[in-house]
Amino acid sequence: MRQLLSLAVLCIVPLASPAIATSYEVPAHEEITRLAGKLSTLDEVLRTRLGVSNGLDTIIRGQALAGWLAQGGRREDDFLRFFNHFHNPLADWSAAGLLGSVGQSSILWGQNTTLSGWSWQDVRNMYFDALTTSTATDREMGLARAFEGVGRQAHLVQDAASPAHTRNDPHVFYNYESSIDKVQRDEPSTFESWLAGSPDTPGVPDPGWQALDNNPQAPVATARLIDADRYLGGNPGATIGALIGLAEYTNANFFSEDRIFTENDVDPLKRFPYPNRSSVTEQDFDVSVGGAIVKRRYFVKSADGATGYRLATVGLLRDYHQRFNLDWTRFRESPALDEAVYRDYAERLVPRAVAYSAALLDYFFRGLVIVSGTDQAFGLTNGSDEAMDGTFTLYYDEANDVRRPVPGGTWTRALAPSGSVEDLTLTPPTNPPAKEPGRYMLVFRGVLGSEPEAVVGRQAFIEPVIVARLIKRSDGAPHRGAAVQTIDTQTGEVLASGITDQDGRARLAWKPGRTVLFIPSVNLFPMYWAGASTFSSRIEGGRVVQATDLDAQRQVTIPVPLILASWPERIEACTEVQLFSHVPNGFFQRSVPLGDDRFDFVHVTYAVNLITFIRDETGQETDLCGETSPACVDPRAAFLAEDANRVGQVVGRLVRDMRSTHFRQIIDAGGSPIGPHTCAAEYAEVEIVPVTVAEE
Amino acid sequence: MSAWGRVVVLCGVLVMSGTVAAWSQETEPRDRYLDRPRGPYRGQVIDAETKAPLEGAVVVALWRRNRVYPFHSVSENYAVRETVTDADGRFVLDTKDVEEGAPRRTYHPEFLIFQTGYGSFPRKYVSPRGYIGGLFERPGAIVELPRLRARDERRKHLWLFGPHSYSDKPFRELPEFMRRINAERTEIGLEPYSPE
Repeated sequence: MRQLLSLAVLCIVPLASPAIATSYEVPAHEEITRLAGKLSTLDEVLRTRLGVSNGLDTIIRGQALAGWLAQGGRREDDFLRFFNHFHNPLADWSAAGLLGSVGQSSILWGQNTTLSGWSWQDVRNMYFDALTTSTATDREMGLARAFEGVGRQAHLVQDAASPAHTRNDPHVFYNYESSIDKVQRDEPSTFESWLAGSPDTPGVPDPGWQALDNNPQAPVATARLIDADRYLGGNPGATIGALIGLAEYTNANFFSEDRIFTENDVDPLKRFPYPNRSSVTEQDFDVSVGGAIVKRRYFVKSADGATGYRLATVGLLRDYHQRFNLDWTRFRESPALDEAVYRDYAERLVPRAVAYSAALLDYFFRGLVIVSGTDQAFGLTNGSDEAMDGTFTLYYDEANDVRRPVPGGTWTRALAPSGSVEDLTLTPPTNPPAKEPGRYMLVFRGVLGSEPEAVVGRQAFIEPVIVARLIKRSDGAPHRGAAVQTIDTQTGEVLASGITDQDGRARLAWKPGRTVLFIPSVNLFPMYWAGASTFSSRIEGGRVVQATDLDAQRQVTIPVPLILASWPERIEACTEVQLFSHVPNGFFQRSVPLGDDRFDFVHVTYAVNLITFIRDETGQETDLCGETSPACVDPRAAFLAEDANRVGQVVGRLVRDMRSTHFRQIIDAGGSPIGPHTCAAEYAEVEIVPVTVAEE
Repeated sequence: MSAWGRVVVLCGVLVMSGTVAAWSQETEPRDRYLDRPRGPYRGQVIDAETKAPLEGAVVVALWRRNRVYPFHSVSENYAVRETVTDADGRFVLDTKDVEEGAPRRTYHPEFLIFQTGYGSFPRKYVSPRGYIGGLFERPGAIVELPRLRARDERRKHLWLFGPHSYSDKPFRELPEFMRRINAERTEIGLEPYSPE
């Protein structure tokens, strides 16, 4: 029976009012929504929290995000949806819609997950898709739809600033909204001034609205932007207080076309206690009619909430019955709402529509998580004003922008405001590797304050860190004070440099899947680690560090040999010292006591014309020193890292053009020769000797 | 006939009569709608600071219509046209074809005037202020656009209107407008719109 009645009412409505106009006209909704987007934090959230560098200017499917937002404000009035854009703040929410039950309360509609298709929860899911869906195209579309969705949600808030929508008034053709539309097109500067105007006190919703007790019928706190359940019908003064729903303010302080002074109406659907006769005084104003200035009498709102504006015109019959002292109950007074009244309304309601819309947009994106640290130890901090209790999941993008959850990158935590969790660790994904190692999208899904299934996104950079541990290959002792670097194989960029500590360890940033380790100075030649205890002289030969190279402490241990160069040296027969030496201009002297103040004195001089190292495999020549060189370079300087893999092997030759003099004589304590010298010889040779790789 | 059947039939009758009522009644002032062709529309666009004419500014005219359904009315785009100002900053938009064939409840056109690097009419312009209904009907009017210099100001100015508010296929219907919007976006370092 109830269904039949509702259906009948639905059919009758169009007769009672030939066409139920759509709240603010579509262009006004669009412009209010655009401005709310501009005033909100959306652009900043997009750029700084989500990594969408162009913010509201980002184009998705041919339309900027600012346009998607506006589209939501525009499309929420699509066919039949407007039936659910009414909310009578004095009724139970289940019966607060148009004419009680013809439409659903806008609050319930905004959270109706069954019928709306764009409920708050639906939009949350769209936003979740925008953050987590696999393909970039789907994520973009999710973001566009989420923006359209919050635009639609803002539309519902804006309707709460339209008197007819809060006073159960299926208004007819020309009305407050029509008037606003006309001003918007014919007097854009006036409309702009309304948009930009400061709402009367308090105007901007007090942030406390978010913490008001929720109503189980529509548990998301945005319901309180429309109806805070603080104006109960007898306390209009509350509607200019700090915490008040927009529908309450509008209902208690303004008339709609067919709900003027209806405080005593017999129909409960039309009966609204305020504004009433005690709320007004009468005052004449000059108005322009057909180019002439005439006096028109108005009811001015002077009490019971907001004051200081024209509430309605005073009907002509009022003068008549007052003059003749007639029974006023016999005459309809017919006050009306004219253009001047509409303008006074708009000055107060449009700025509130903007401010409350902006508050809703900010509320949608209010969650904030701060991520800090490296993947070996990072923390999550709840930067919101509300507690977070749910799941934090890290996602990463592959090279082709396919988004995947990070294996092992999900944590279920409850964080109080400013609360944090520390010492989380993460194994950076390498299969497939990340497009931008260390770059993640952290997505929270869970309870945020009182909102269940809230979604918070945050692009995070969690620096991937490994520990390179260098040990001596010969005995396993740590290499202390050794330099190590991580190199990006794609760019050749040095990612990090470190010096090994007492344990031979150095912590280094890296990019999983594209990083090699460079050891520049343990030996006289630079080395790229090539896996196990092998090395390469070229970055291409280096091993890209894999997750499997890391132990439980996320360290890669590298046994590094200390390489020596070895080649044969001859001994001169008379002096019994080295025939030649890699000393360009040097000498050797020795006196050995023989007793009786006699000494065996040896003196050797060395000189180099040229020493050259020639690699066997390439024939490459490296001059180690010449006649005028202050010293000779160690042949190891001409070694390659690959030579560290060839211990015991001959890798090249030394071509030595050298000279020496060898002299031996018995002398006394004063240095004077005793008898003829034992020997004296000069040598000048060019010889070739093999060079072998040795390990210390 | 069952009770449900009777209600459905009744509703059908009521809805039909409601439709007739809606279509036959006209309770709002006529001046919201075009009562006859008002074009061509004329004007001149100048720099608000230097008063120099702005050549190449695009002028977009959008006609919306109020379509009445049994349960409500919706405002929807009916037609859109564009033109570009000449060396003197003047424009003439001949709209005879649009307005002569305009259906009932077609609103007077809304205008958007845009030039790269400038505020736009009617979102961010200098003058004329106040009532501008019929502004571009004979003999036309002078519109002053302010130069926007700061990147952030230009960026946020673009948030206040979008091509898709004027046309679902802006590249096809408003090529000059899209050229200038894209030039503006490119100048301030944003990705331009791509054709549909």
